[in-house]
Amino acid sequence: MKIKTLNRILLVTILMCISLGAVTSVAAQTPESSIESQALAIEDQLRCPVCVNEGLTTCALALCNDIKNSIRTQLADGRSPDNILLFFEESYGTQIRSGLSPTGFNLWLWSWTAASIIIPIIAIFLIINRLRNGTN
Amino acid sequence: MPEIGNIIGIAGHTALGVSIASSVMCVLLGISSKNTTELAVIYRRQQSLVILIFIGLVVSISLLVYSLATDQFALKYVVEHSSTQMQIWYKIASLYSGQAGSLLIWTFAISLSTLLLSRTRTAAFQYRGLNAITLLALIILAFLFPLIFLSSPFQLTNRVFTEGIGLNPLLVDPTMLIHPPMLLLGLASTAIPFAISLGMIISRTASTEWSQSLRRWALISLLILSAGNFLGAWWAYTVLGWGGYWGWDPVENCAILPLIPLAVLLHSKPLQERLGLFYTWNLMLGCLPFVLAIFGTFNVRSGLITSVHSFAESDIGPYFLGLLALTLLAPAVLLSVRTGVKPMKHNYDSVLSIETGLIINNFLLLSIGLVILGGTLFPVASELSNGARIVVGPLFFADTVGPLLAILLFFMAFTAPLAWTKTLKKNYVKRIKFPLSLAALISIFAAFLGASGFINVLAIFASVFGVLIHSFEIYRAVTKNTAIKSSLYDRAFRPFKQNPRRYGGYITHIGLAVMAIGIIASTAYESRNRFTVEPGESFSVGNYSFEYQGLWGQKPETNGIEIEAGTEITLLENNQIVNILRPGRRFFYSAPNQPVAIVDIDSNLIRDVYVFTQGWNEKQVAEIQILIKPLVQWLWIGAGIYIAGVLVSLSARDRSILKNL
Repeated sequence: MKIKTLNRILLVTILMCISLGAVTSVAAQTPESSIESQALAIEDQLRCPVCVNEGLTTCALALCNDIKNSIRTQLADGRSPDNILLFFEESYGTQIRSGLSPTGFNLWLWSWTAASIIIPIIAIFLIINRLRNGTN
Repeated sequence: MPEIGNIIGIAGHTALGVSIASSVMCVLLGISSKNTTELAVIYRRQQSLVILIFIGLVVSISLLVYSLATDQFALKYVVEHSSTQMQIWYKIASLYSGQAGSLLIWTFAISLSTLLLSRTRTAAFQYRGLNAITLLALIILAFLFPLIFLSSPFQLTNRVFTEGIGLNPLLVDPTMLIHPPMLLLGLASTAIPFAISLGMIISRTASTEWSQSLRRWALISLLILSAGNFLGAWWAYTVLGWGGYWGWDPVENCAILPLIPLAVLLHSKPLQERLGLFYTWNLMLGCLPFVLAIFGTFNVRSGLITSVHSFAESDIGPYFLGLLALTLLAPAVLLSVRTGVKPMKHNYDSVLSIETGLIINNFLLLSIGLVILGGTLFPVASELSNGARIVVGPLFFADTVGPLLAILLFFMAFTAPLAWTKTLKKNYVKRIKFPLSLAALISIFAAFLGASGFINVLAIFASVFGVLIHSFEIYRAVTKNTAIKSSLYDRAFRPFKQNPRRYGGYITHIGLAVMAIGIIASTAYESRNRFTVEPGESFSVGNYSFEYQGLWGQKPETNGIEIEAGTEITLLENNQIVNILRPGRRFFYSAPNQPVAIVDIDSNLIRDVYVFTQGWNEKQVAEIQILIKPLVQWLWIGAGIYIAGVLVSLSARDRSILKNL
């Protein structure tokens, strides 16, 4: 391998490693196990029960601040994140969950999503097959 | 000065009337042109009428801008959207903050695009362009109608006002001066590919001029619409105070949906030009962005979806539903009966060819578009079906669109070194093995350093591979034919001059991959912390320490802002002062209970320290949120590279874009 090529590889590798190293070192600064990070992870899975399309994390309503404080209190009391999520689901209904469970009417959306992926894949195979066979 | 306001109201309606009359004449001329010998004469007359339509709209906009700038509260629109307290720039921004004003900008943008298209000098286009111009005049007419009869910006008030409500507090930001008009211009510009495609369907023609014109306009729409979306993401990041840039809000989705068929069209056109494939498909793709733009407009104005971006429910909703049905059905019906162009005989020799790559990428893009469309429409579908609105949040899109984008990035990268018709396996492996190995090495290194989550590492791998392979392809092109003596400058720019479509596309792909790196790093490896602190108290996140100094407050006495207040925080890294941050809240007279966040960010290429203040009490105890967002600046750098790539692609064939639009 030529020296020039080696230098190129070295330079690109160093630059990439610096940036990716930076990502991971910055990310590694917060201990994942702390109550605060667990609370924030729970917050991410909940939405504001009052506003539309507003996550709990970003909502500034007093009710949302109460929910945020309640999450921390429950975590400090030793309740698991799953139990806390269930507690809020029972209190405010399934609509408080940010995620969309594949049950009930939601199945329509999941089916649509599956079809949106499967049908184009079939189309790709059909088109390539036709092209290989020389038909338009 | 109500008298002046009244005069402006009458003059505004008259100017819109001139545009309507000119549009009607333009359409009638187009429809009545049956004798082919008269086409050139009719086209010239249509060109004049297009100028008249444009002048009418320029006068209307000028009158409205003047009314806003000089506080003409005789106009209802000025009362509802402007205020004497606002700076002149924000008064002008009120032009597009309301329904009627934004509709006027939409119409103006279509009219401007029509004017540019009608000035095309390519002779062959002129005669065949008749259909496109006629269709565009019809579209302008369809937009002018609600401007006069349903939602007029020149409607007069029935009592005397001395002050207005002012701009929505969230819009009082410099980004708002450029983001909405850019987005509106981008959405409106999709009318041109629509009209050209429909014109091609009606006239059963597939000339090179039309085809090139369609590609250029698709690129222009892609450029403006992408820039509008990037600016919107920047605004969300710097103003909304939640640390994100994309919320998968239904209106945000509507703004990116037209981009998908545009991107598919641009990648599908070469298959048509080289192999005669996908002619009908491309015509459909040419129509689709405008249909989706109308769909977005209907969503925003109908009150059907709930979003921070949408206008209140109005009479205009059903009108746009009708327009949506018409724009969707017309191409579909005409395509089924009038395509009539026989595809060329294609020459597809091998699966290992650029054709395969483009087909896979196009269908992947289509998948992404369909998933986004499904998620956007689902709340409405659920409400219509069982009476309960099921909101589809960002988690759904992150779980579905995220992996699809990662797969797309992979295929995009694998397609770059492929040749047309057939690629020799040996050559292909030789060209991908180095960037692929290097990307794998970097990803393993990242995982070793602590990058968690298999999907995240895989997405990093795909993005890095994308950056490397496209960069290496450009490098290969630059260093090719080194035997020819030329300056470094000439060699560096030669590929972009010789094949701007390919290499402009590569730059755009690099931009996308760089953006992906920024997005993955800043979302998957973000650190979010919340502190409740008293003045003088310190707190820390990793290597960063923060000292809360106390509260600050000021009265700007402008733009309707009552007071700006917040916390002063000293940011230290390894005990060295890095920055003094002043996040807070902005309170408006018009909406005292709806304060807007003042975000403060300490940025560099490695990370952003994003700070905002949730609130405080009378003892100055404040709740502060700290977000450490790695590599987020690369999202904006990637966006810049993407735009540069599209600009390079636009320079294809001829330099003077305006000359041959």
